[in-house]
Amino acid sequence: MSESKNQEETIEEKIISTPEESKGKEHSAPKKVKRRNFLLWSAAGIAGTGAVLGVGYSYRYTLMFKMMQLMANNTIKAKAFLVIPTKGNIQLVCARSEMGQGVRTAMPMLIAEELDVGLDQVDIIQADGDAMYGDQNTDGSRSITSFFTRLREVGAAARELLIEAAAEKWRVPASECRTNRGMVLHRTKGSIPYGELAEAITSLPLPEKPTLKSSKDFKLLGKPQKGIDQSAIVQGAAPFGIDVEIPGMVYACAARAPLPKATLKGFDDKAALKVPNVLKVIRLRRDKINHLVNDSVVVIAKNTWAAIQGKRALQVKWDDFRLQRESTPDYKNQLEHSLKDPATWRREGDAKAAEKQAEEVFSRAYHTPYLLHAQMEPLVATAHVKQDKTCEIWAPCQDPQRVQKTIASYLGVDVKKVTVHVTFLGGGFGRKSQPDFILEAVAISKQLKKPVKLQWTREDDTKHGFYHSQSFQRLSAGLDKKGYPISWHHQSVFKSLVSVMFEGFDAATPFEFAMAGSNMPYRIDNVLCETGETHASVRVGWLRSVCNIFHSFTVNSFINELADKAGIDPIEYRKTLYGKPRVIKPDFAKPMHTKRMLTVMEKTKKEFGWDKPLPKGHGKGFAEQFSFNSHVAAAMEVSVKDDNVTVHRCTITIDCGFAVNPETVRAQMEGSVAFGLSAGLYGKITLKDGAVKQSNYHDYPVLRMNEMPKVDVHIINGDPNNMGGVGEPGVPVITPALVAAIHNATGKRIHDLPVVDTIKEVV
Amino acid sequence: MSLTKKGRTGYDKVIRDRAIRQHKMTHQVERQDSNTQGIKTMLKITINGQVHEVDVPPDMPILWVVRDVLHMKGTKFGCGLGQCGSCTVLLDNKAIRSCVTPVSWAVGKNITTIEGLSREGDHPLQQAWKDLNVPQCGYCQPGQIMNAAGLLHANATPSAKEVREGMAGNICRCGTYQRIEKAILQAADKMNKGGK
Repeated sequence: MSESKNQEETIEEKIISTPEESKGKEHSAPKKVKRRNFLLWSAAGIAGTGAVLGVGYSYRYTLMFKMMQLMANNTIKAKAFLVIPTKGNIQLVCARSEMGQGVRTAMPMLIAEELDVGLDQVDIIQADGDAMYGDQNTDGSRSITSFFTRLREVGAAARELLIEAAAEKWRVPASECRTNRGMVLHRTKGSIPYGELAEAITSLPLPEKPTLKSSKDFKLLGKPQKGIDQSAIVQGAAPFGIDVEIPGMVYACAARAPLPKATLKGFDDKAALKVPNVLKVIRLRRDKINHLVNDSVVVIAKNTWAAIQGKRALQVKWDDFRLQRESTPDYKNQLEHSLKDPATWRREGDAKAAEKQAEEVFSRAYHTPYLLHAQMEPLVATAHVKQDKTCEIWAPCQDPQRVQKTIASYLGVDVKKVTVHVTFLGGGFGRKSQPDFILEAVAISKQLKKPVKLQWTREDDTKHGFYHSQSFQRLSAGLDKKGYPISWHHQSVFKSLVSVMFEGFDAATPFEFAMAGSNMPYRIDNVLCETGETHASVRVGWLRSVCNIFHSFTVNSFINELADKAGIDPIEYRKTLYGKPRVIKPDFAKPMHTKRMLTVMEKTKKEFGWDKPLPKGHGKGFAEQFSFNSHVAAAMEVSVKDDNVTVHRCTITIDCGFAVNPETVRAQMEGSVAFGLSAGLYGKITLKDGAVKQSNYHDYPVLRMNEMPKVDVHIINGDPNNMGGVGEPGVPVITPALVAAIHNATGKRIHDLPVVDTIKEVV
Repeated sequence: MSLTKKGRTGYDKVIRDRAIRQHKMTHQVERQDSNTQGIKTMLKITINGQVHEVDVPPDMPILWVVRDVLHMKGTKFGCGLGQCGSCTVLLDNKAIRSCVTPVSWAVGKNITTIEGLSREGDHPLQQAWKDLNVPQCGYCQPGQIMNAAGLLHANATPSAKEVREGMAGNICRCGTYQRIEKAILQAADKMNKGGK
C-alpha cells in the first residue's frame, strides 16, 4: 500500500476524532473502508434468499404487515461482510449497532469461527446504514438469531475458497489441506496466510452450499469471549455519538415545545445572543419536518456549553391551548374507564361462564407507570447537508436504515444520497431506534448550510422521550377447590407502539398484548383476553423488553398471589399449571417448550437454595417468563426496614437455546437485574397538563452501585436449533420476583408500581 | 466523600447537597465574571501534566473545556448536574464532577482525565476492567474508572462496602456494578502489592 493511499485512508478516519486515534484496531468502528487496495469478497448468493426476519411470525394483521414493511428491509442483495486484504488484519463487518449488548463481538465470532481465524486477528468494521446488509434494525433481541446461519455461511464459503486456491497453488488435492488461525496448511507444502491467497480467490466461483462446522468443533462459539472493544473503552477512546467532530462544525442545543403538538407563540433571544460564543438563534417547525419532532428554538454556538447556556437564556412562549391536557391521575382513570367496552383478543372456552361455576372468583387490578430509557449518553447527532444535496450523518442510532429513509423523505432525495455512519451507542434501550434527534440535526444543518452537532441535555432527554407505555390491567380467575384457576380473564390497556409509525393509532395491538400477556402459557381451559381503547398525547416507544415488562409483572404477581392463597409453593403451583411437557405456539413468537421452562425453573430453585431458610426478616420471590424466544426464571431475596427495600441477591437462569458468547449472556443477565430493579423500584414518568414533570437523574432515579444485589447467573443451552434472544428477556422477571419477595418479607402486596411510591402505603 | 447513611434517602441528600454546593460555586464565578465583562482572560490549566492556555469564560465547566476546546473526548457528558458521574476527572487526585466544576477552579491545580491515567491503558484499574470484562456500552466507564482512581487515592485498601458507597455517585445504566466492584478490589490488591 503506497503512502499516498494511506493518506487517503487517514482523512476518512479523521472524521471521528479521538485522542487515541492511531492506537489500535478497536478504534476502527466508524471508519469507512477504502476498498481500492483490498480484495472485496462478496457474499452475494451465499446468503441465499435470506429473509430470516419474520420466520415464525404470523402476519395475521395487515397493519402489522405494514409496520414490518416500514421497519425492516427483508432482503439481502449483496455486500461484503468480510474483507480479506492482501496484507494486515482480516476485516469483518458488523451491520448491527453496538449499545452494550455485545453484538460487535458476537456477530464477527460467527464469521471468524467458520473462517477459522482468531478474534485477535480481525478488525471490526461498523457498517453504515445500507439495505444491502439486510435488516439492520437493532431491536427485539434478534441480531444473533437472525444471522446465526447466514454469517457462518459467509465464513465457511470463504474458507472453502481459500483452501481451493491454496490447493491449486500447491497442486495438491483440496482434501489434504486444512486451516488454522488465518493460514491454509498442508503437511508437506507448509503454510500460507489467507492474505496471500486473496487475489487468487477472486476468480473462483462461490460454493453453492458451504459446509458448516459441527458444533463439537467450535473454537469460538459457545466459549466465553471478552468484548472486542474493551481496550478502547477503558482508555476513553471508543468513539460515541457525542465524540464526533468534523471540520467547520457548529454546535446546537434546542428548547423544545413541552408537548408534541404545542406551537411557538413567540420568543426573545436577546439574552441568549449575549452569551459568549453563541452565533445564532433559529427555529424548527414540526409542520415542516414531521410528527416525530416538536417545534423548537435552536441556539447555534461555537461549543456545546455556549449552546446550552444560550438555550437557558432563551425566553420562549408556547401556545398549547388546543391540546388535550393530560395529567397522570386523569389518564389512569381514562385507562380504567376504557375497559368498560373492551375488545377481545384471545378467547378459549367461556371464561365468564366458568367464573359462575367456580368456587371463588379472585380479581386484582394493577397499574404501571410510564418509564424512561435514561440511557447514559443523552441523544446527540451530527449532520451535514451538503450543497450537492447529499447528506452525511454520524449518530448513535439503532436503526440506520430507518434514519436513511426518514431523512431522504424529509430532504426529498433518494436514500442513496443519505449516508448514515453508526457510532458506538452510549446505551440505547430502544430510545435510539427513533430518528427524531437526527431529523432535527439534519433540519438545522439544512438551514445553516453547515455541519452541525445537535446535543440534547439530560433534561431534554427526560422531557422529550418516547416513553414505555403506562398500563392498567385487571386479572381475574375462577378457582377450583384446590385453588387452581379454571378460568383466566386478563384485561390490559395501554397506548400502542404503532402510534410511532401512524400518529393517532393509540389502541393497543395483538402483537403487544401477546408479549407475556395473551400468550399466557398455563393450562387453563377458559381464557379471555381483552383490551380497551385509549388516547394519550404523550409519545410512547419501545423500551428494553417492551410490553413484556408490565404483562410479566401482572401475570407473575397474580400467579404468586394465587399460589399463596392456595397455600402452595409458587414454583410447585406453576409446575402444576404447566402440566405435562408440551409445545405451545404463541402468537408472534417461536414455539415455547414448557419442558425447557420447567428445567430453567428447577435450576433457579436449586441454585438459589429455595428450600433453605432465610435470615430473619428476609423474604424470597420467584418469577418466570418466556420472551424473545428465551426461557428465563429468577429468584430474589430482599429485606425491608421501614420503607427501605434492600435487595440482597438474585439468581437468574436463561435458556436461550445456545449461548454464542456465554460471557455476554452473563453480562446481559446481570444488567437485566439492574434494569428491572430500576424500573420496579423507582421508574415513574408523570405528567402535568400533558408535559413531563421529571427532568434528570435526581427525580428519575435509577439503581446505583450501593443498591446492586449479588447476581448469580446460570445459562442452559437447551436447544441449539431453537435459539432465543438475550438482551431483553432477562428484564421481565425482575419486578415480579422483587414484589413477591417484598410480600414474603412483609406480608404486604404491591399492585401499583413503582415500589417506592406504594410501599409506604402497604407496609 | 463517605456515606454513612444507608438507603436512597440518605444518598440522595448527599448528591443534592453536593449539586447545590457546586452550583453556588458556579454562580459565584458568574458574578465575578459579570464585573469584568468584555475583558478576555486566558486561563492557564494543567491537564495530564501538560499546560494549556485557553480563552474561555471562567465559569465554563472543565468538562466542556476538555471536550470541545481541547478535543479530548474520553470524559463524557451525562447529566450536567453532578448526578451521574460520567464526567468524573481528578483534580489534584480528588475525583470531581467536571460538568459542574468551573474551569477557573482548576487554575494552579492538576487535572487528570482518562487519557492521562496511563500511557498504554495499563493502569491497574484499566487492566482489572479488561480482565473482568466490565464494560457493556462503555459510556460511563471512563468516569467510573476515574472515580475509582480518586477513591483509591483516598483509601488504598477499601472494603467492598466502602467501594459500593464510594462509587454510588456513578451511574451505570447497563448495570455493570457487580463487575466494577470486583475490578476495584482486584486493582487495589494489585497496587498494594506494588503493581503501580
